Amino acid sequence: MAVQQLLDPEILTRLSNIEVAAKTVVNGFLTGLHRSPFFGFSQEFAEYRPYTQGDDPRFIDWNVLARSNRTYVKRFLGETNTHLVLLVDASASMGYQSGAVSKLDYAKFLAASLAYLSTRQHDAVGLMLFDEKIREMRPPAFRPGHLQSILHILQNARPATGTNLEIPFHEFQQHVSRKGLVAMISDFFADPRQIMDAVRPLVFHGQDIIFFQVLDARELDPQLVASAVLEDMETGESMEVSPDFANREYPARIRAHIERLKNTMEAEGADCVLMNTSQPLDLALREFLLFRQRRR
Amino acid sequence: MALLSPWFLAGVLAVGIPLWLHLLQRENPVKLRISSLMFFEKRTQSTVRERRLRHLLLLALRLTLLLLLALAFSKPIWERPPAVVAGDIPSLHIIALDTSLSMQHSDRWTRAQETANGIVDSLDEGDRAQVVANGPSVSVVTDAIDDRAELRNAVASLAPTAARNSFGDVIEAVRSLASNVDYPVEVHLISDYQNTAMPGRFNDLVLPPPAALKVHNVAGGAVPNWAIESVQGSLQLFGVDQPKLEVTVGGYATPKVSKRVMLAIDGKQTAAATGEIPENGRTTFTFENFDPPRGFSRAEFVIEPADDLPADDRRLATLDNSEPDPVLFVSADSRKRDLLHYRTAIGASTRVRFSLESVSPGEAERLNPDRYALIVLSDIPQLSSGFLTRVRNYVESGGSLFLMLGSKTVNAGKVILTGHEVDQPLFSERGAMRYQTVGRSDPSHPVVEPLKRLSGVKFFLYARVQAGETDDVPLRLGNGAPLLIEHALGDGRVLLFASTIDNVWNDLPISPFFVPFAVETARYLTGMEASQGRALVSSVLELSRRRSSGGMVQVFDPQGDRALTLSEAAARDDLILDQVGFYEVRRSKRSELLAVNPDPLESNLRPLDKDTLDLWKSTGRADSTAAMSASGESPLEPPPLKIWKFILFLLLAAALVESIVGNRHLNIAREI
Repeated sequence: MAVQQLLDPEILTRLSNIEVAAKTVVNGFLTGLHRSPFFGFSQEFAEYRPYTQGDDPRFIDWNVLARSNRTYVKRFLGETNTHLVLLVDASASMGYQSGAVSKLDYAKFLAASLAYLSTRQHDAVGLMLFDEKIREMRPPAFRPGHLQSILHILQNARPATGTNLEIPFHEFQQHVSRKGLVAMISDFFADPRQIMDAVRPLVFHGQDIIFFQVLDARELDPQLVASAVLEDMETGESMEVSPDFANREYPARIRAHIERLKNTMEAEGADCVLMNTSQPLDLALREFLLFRQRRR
Repeated sequence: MALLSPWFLAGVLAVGIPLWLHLLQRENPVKLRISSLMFFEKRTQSTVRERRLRHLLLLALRLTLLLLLALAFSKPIWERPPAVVAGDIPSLHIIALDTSLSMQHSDRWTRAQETANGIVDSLDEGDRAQVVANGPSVSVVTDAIDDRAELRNAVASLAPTAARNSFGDVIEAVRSLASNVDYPVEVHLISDYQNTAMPGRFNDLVLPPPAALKVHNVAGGAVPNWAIESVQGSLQLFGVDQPKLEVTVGGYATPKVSKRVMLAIDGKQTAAATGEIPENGRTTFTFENFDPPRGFSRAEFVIEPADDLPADDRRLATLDNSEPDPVLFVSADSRKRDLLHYRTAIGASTRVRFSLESVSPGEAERLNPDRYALIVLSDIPQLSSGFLTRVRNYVESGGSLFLMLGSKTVNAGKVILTGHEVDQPLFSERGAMRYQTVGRSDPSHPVVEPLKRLSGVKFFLYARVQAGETDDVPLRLGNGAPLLIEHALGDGRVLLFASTIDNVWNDLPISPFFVPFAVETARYLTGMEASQGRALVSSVLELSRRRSSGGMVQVFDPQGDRALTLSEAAARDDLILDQVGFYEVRRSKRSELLAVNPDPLESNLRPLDKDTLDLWKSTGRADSTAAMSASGESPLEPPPLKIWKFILFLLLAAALVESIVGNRHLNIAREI
């Protein structure tokens, strides 16, 4: 099977295990890249942080617990080369699909591939799955079994309710203080300025942010042949739309939104990559590696 | 314009349905789920307007369709302006002549012909006429023509028959003739208007709309008439020591009078009886001590003195003094139980008489089967080759055979002559009861009908016979096994009874159905089942029952001529007996003599009452002839133009266009 075929999201949907899918994507991608990055690591105590679900219990400081009856974990400098936190949107709108792959499936593959790729590069990987609230969270870590934990969360992710982009960034600030990489995967159906209002504190904090905007081909070009009642998957609101509007004005509007989002992001120093669910995943990985290389 | 069924216009209300569908109910567009409506807007008005315009065409077509449908059902007609000048509108005159027996009364027929000729003479320019005769069935003598000479010839060619009149048949024929006529139809019914000619339902007399009834009554009113109504008694005389015949003479509108009835046998005056017939009453004349010759005799009873209708003063009867048909009963039962039961049953019948001759298989070898009307083989598995060949030839040449199957036949494994395979006998099982009863029967079979499915008869054992594909199975047991099988062998008939009559395999011989069973099977096999010796004029002689398979039935009419050609004799199923007299029916093994008499109903000359006649005349087209003919104006209006026929064409065209336009919309829906 050709490498390019292995990166095709439609083929990946036939793989039942997301870990296998991620390995397939990354190995195939790296085979084509001819590059084997290696980064060292060290262990130097840095700070205490309150324990959250998913933290390795080995790092709990039992002395502090005995003294103060509070659970803290010890953190170390140079644990890994860098941190990567994946913010994955699992809202209802991500469940849209016109072909074999839904946007959420695509986002899961992308997130799993990024996690696997980063783990191979000895980066600490964390995950935050959100919709209107935080559904799952794993702080960045590099230890055996952490990747499987992230992949398990991704495997079981299902589209749920609406979207609130402010919450993940707010939570992020609560739990992640170290500078690193932040990859946010969403369809970004929101006002770019509001998004940036939420993101800006992170940028000020020194986080390097990359936005993967995942859209379906039909969202870019609906191609209606007759009037249709469109129902918003998140709000349930309905609207009757004529084919004239859907085929002429809507594509222009969505393109303008994408462009505005990209400009806004780049103005704040963030990268923005538009991903079509029909595109192979190597494009995203390449963008990510370039992004990572630029920010080192 | 007028509407024949205006209530159907209420169907116009149905236009509300497409109006509601097209205008009130909004189109149901396809529903799609989308990530976000953030960049969408409601559809613009121009698109809606475009769709409505397109739908209005479909709406208009559908409304037209419904309106036309309602209009067509209301049957609109266009009343053309009436013609006021006589002769402007041609008419069809149907001259229906009553040729029944009662028209032989005095000078009724002469008057009828004169009336018919008078109608022909009074035809207007452009009018056409058609002569119809009613008796024995309604026959159209001429087409609708205006040739007066031909019409007169047609009237002159007719003569009264011995048939019975039926006004219902005449009107049915008129309906048929007037069904495709767009101009007025005058029905001139020339008859003596007997009350007995009325049909059971008055509706059968109702004339179609373009027709009007013209009554031409050639009877002078109620007239007295005497007739021989029936002949009862010893018509089958063989073995009867003191034959006795009773002749009933009835009078209609008659005074008390003394009459004499003469009996002639084969044309020879034999006896006479005199009696008083009361006013409007009946008297029975009795004839005894006459000695007809052997075979069939022609008996003729005549009232003297004759009245004005001599045709019903005469009655014919067939006297059967022939020897009973011989039946050969072959049985190997040493105790003769089967013979005992069969002889008793055959002898108990008063309807048919057979002389039964019983022999053992060994004794049968010296007999000639052709002597017998029927051969019964009671559980005979084999016969000597010589006798077997003779029996086969006998059956194949039209003879009859009745086979009963018992243990001997079962042991042989095959039925003699027919070759049917027989399995071992089966002890019947029917739940806890170890017997079978008759399950299915064919009521159309002449043998089965009087047997009432042999209700209650228990069959403990039966031979399992497989019926052939061409065999008829009138009776089956409850488990579907054939009980009575009819098999054709050459020109003859063979009945197979898959059990015995010895009161061992079943209890049929001691049941009430055994006598009918024995008699009906014998009558059917010998072809006597249809022979009554008498019939009425216009009745149907069923030839198929008299004919053995592949055989031929020859019928000779009262004049001694063949009533059927050779090909008809082999193929026709029935023959209408249209003459009074003796018909002779000949077939391969048996002949019979049928006495055909007129229907006694024709003897009652009481005419229709005035109210009924007026009511009858009021049906069909309104009759205003009398009022307007005096002023020289034609009372006839041109028949209205039936517009609904044209509306149906429009309806068809509208439906076609609607289908095409509707299909375009459906195509769009499919693309979505």
